[in-house]
Amino acid sequence: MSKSLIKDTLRAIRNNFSRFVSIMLIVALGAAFFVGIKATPKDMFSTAEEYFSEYNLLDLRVQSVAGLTDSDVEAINGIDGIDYVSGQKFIDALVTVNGSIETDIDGTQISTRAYSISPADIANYLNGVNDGAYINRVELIEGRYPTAVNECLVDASELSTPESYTLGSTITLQAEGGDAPSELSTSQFTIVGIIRSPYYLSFERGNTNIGSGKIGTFIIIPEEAFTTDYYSEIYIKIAGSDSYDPYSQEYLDFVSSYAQKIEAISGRQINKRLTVLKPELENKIAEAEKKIKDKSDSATTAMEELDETIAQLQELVDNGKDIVAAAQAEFNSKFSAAENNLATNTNEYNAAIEKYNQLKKELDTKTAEYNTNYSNYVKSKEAYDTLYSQCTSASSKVDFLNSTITTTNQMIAAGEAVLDGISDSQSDAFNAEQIQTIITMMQTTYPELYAAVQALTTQGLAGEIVVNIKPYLDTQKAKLAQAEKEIKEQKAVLDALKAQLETQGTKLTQATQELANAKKELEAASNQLNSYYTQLQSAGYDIQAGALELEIERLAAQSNLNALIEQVNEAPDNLNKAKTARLEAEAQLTSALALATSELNTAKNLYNNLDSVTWSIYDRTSAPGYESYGQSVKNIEILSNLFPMLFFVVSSMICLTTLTRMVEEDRTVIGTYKALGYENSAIILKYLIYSFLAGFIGSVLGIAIGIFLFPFAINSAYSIMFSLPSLNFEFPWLWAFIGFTISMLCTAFTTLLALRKELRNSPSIIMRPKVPKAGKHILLEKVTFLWKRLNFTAKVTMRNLFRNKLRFNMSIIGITGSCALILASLGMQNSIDAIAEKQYGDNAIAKYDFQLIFDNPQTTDTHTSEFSLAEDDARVEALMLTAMKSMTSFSERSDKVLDVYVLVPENPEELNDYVALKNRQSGENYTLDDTGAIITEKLAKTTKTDVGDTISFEDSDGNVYDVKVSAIAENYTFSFIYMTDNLYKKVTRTSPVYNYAIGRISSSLKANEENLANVKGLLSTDIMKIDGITTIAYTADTTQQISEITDALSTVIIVFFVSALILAIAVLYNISNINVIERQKELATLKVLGFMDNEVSRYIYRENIFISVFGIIYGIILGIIVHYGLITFTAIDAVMYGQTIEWHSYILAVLITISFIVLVNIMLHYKIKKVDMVTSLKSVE
Amino acid sequence: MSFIELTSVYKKYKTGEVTINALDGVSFNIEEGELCMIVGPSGSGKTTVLNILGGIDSCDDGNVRVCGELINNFDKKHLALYRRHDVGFVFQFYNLIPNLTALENVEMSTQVCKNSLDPVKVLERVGLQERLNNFPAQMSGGEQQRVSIARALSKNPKILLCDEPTGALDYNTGKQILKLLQDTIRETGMTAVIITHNTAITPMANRVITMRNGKVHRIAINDNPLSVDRIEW
Repeated sequence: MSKSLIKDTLRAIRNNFSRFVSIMLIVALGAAFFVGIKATPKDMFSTAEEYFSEYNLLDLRVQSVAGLTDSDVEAINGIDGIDYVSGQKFIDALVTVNGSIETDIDGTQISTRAYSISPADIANYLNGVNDGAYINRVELIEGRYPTAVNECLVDASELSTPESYTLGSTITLQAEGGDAPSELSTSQFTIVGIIRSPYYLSFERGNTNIGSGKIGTFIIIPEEAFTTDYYSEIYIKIAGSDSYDPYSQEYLDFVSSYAQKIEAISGRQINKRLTVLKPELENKIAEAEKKIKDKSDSATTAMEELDETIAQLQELVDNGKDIVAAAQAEFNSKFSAAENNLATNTNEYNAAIEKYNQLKKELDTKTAEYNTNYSNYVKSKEAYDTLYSQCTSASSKVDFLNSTITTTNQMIAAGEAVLDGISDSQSDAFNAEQIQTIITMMQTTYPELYAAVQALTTQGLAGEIVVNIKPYLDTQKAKLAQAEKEIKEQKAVLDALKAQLETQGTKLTQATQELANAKKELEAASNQLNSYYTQLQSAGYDIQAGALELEIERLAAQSNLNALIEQVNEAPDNLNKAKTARLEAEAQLTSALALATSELNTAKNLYNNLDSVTWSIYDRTSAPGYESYGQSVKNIEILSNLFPMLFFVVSSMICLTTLTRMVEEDRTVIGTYKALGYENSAIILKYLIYSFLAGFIGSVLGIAIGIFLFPFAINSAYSIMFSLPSLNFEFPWLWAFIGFTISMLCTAFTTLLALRKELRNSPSIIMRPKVPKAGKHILLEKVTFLWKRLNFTAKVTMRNLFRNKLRFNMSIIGITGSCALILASLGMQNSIDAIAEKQYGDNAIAKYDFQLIFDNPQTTDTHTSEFSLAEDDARVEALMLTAMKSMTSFSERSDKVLDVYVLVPENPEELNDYVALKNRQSGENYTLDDTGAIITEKLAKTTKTDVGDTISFEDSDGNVYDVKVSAIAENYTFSFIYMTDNLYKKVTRTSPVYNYAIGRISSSLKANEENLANVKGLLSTDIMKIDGITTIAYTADTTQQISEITDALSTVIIVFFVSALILAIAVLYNISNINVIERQKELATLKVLGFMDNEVSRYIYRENIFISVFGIIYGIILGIIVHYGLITFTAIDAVMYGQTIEWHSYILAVLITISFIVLVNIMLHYKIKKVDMVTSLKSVE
Repeated sequence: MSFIELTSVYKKYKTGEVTINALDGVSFNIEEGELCMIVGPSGSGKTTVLNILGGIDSCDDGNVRVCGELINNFDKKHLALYRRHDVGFVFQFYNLIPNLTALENVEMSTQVCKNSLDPVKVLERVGLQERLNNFPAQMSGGEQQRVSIARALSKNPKILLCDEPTGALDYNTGKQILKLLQDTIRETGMTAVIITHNTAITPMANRVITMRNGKVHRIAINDNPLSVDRIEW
């Protein structure tokens, strides 16, 4: 190469620096995009591979319903080629964090799988040993490993883990029903570390048979916390597995050969296990049966009591009014009679008192009478007494006289007797005794005589006595006579007196009689009065007591009556309460029984199926997220096959035209060199150096930027969904080589081709200007009627367009490609936005605003109090019970399996008020009925299911059910199978468990959007206060979480979008620029002919507009295809993208494309303005 | 007042550090209806004069008056209008739009002009009635130059400017073209300026301006111009 040629080469670069740079940049763009996108999946795979190997991700996993033992571990370890085997325990439990319930993305209480970590593994970590014994090693992101039995490590995933999972928080694990799990010795764990596990690549955590059926998060707790004596699963690490690409078929085949070996020893091991397990299970079953019986017995008694109460209350509710009325009437009648009675009695009493008073008066009269009588009597008595005393004294006188007479007579008689005795009888005969008697007699009557006789007797001289007596006798006789006389007189007086006394006596007797009578009368009256008084008094008491008693009675009756009324009034409430209590009791019983029964059934099932127990052996594809990561990366791979090629095609075409143009421009120079005797190779070298430098620098620059920029951007987008260590940037030798080669082909090779064409000719021809491409009649001219109608400039435009087909096609491809990429990007954004907008926005599919989760299964016919309380809240417009269970669904038409929710609404006819079931295209509304299930579109697409086909779904216990599909409904987030209660029962032979309710907030509250957040907050607080409601979840929050996932893709789309825009500008500008340069002379001629600058520009524009119209039309078509490809290939399970591009995106895409065209044309205008008439006319370029 | 007056026209081109005085005080007049030829060696400034007259270049100093108007004061737009309505240009390399037929090339020019002639008639006059729908590539050089002339004439311009119209043509064809130009000018009374380096053909002109080194060397007036047929070279 001569010196001057080198000089010329360098000057060529300097003089055409802008072209040089433009080629370089376009090559860089194409190479960056191509190599970058191609490198992305490789980097992502390699990151995963390294991660798996670094953290010893298991190769195989063995599970058995009968549990696994150390013996199993040893047996598997004995298999040749198996490096490490480790027994693992885990339980699935519901979680509360710091005492409050956390909800999952779908609004259900979050559940967790708690794995054990053995002391050996912890020691392994602490000693920094990584020999592979610690399988599924977790990556500690924050904190430390547990050292105590009540410490745990938690899941770091932002999507699946609640925000409250922070170091120091306390996690409480609960079995279903809220009890502490029986498998654990402690249920409370303090978070000491936050981890990432290679086993969980994505936010998916797998399924379980508790809670909503979906595991929300995982934690790791020390093995000592487990009380179980068997392993839940066994992890296996195979020697040499790391040398395989984990996502290759070779790896799966390799692993599968070991799975077969493990299966071969499983039978023997299972038998060993069964001998231990059988008696254990028998005990367990017996215990469970007893528990169920006890529970059901006690509950039945309680419920019977409740039933009685309910019957009574029901009676009160039904007849309460009548009962109250009757009681009132009875009360009235009873007390009016009694009061009447009391009144009568009082009247009588008053009358009696009057009579008493009268009687008293009478008694007074009688007393007065008596007193008169008494005084009479006293007088009479006095008179009588006087008389009587007179009479007495007279009588005594008589008596005295009589006695004197008697005594005298006696003395006389005695004296005479003595005298007679002495005289008649001998003195001797007179005995002393007789004498003595006489003397004694005398003693009283005749004391003198007695004395005399005494003296005489004492003297013993009887004879003397006689002498003495005789005189005495005589005197006595005289005295007697006297006395007799006197007595006579006296007797007369006495008689008179006696007569008088007798009269008086009669009188007195009369008076006495009268007095006695009066007294008697008085006494009688008094007695009467007294008795009357007593009577009266007692009557008074009676009346008072009666009144009092009546009052007391009345008050008591009144209070009874009031109580009754109150009872009746409260009866409906109480009835409801009683009913609620009954329902609660029933629900509790049901759930308790269900729980116990399910435990029992599990045990029984296990027991019954012990003979058929097998080991389930899983490889990594069963790890949640493993496949979806692979799939996502493969999606990018698919994208990387499509997009960068498009880029490369476009950028290489630009290089091709630009460089061809350059060679053509230099035609005369080339001819001159050739004519001067330069070798072809030397000439070629000049242009080769130029194009090689541009291509080399461009591609190296592009590759260098691309291998970092694109993997980084795309991986960061996906890192929201997948949790992996930071990306490995690997140098993609192959793709870099291909990218470099293609770049070189686009530049150097293109130059060679163009040169070869020129160099074939002789110098003389090359030296002369190239004959302009001949004008040709175009096909359109044959359509004369149309051609004639076109005005002149249109004709020119047409001819110009078809004259240079390469440029025309390239321009169209450029615009088509750009427009398609822009439309696809915008459409993809629509599809992503549609998920949230169409699912939850205005007039959306999910019309419900929130979902409630109940502690216990709900009854459908009569609702529980917690349901009613929530339903009656003024802010709640409507509420409906739903049964929801997470399952997997598939069909025989496709090998794809999708996670679905089987949803049974309480009232199928109302379901449309909560979830719009409609055809996406026709808008036809569907109603759920017993004829078949309604499934959502994503599910239908994935399983290739049409209306009328049968679809299968499998619960977490492995039961598979088939149901006929009656309609396919539009839906964007998650997948659902909607069934009526009847259909569900028919299909699964079990009843749906209504654990959820979906509800709407009243529309007036929703209208005030600013306040809505407040309303929701308050509603949450109030709803959560209701006993029996576990939690409330708003669909808007779900939207937020969904959008986090889809934002990842948005980012990727934005990367594409921006690249597309840059490409669009580059393509359009380059093509237009070449167009102007190539036609400089033509444009100059036009100017000389007097065309204005803008007229000249318009002349070019017209062509551009025509190209643009074509390009945009093709671009829209291609964009739709690319968009379809994107939403098909980049699909993720949880969501269905909006299937259509919104009309405004079409408009926007067209506008963006047009605005770029306009922008480029404006730049072109200045370029046209600059075309110098003088220089361009001088010669042919 | 003459139809075309150039008074002390200067034009400098700067290329890097070198300044070339393309026109160094050029003054001359051309009367209406005259056929004027400007001759001179390469680099004498004749094309520059033509470009300035045609309104596709501007002078740095001096006055250029055409038909009483000072075109050196025109702005770009006026210049374009001037070119459009008043000037017919015939180029050495014809400068036909390759993509248009003969007729369309003429139409393109008449389309923007007010007093244009019927393109077909003009083409008939230049003897191309048979070639109306042929593309430039399908025609010989002479025919192409006829189209170019027809395009210039069809505008019915005040002045016709021809830049070496025979420069790319052989003797006979060149002669035919010159004849065509002479006849047309005679018939229409148009003012024409033809640039040529071939002094042999100057006898056909009314006025011959010889230029040297950017200056007018000599102006010769020929009251009896010869017909082209009688000129041999």
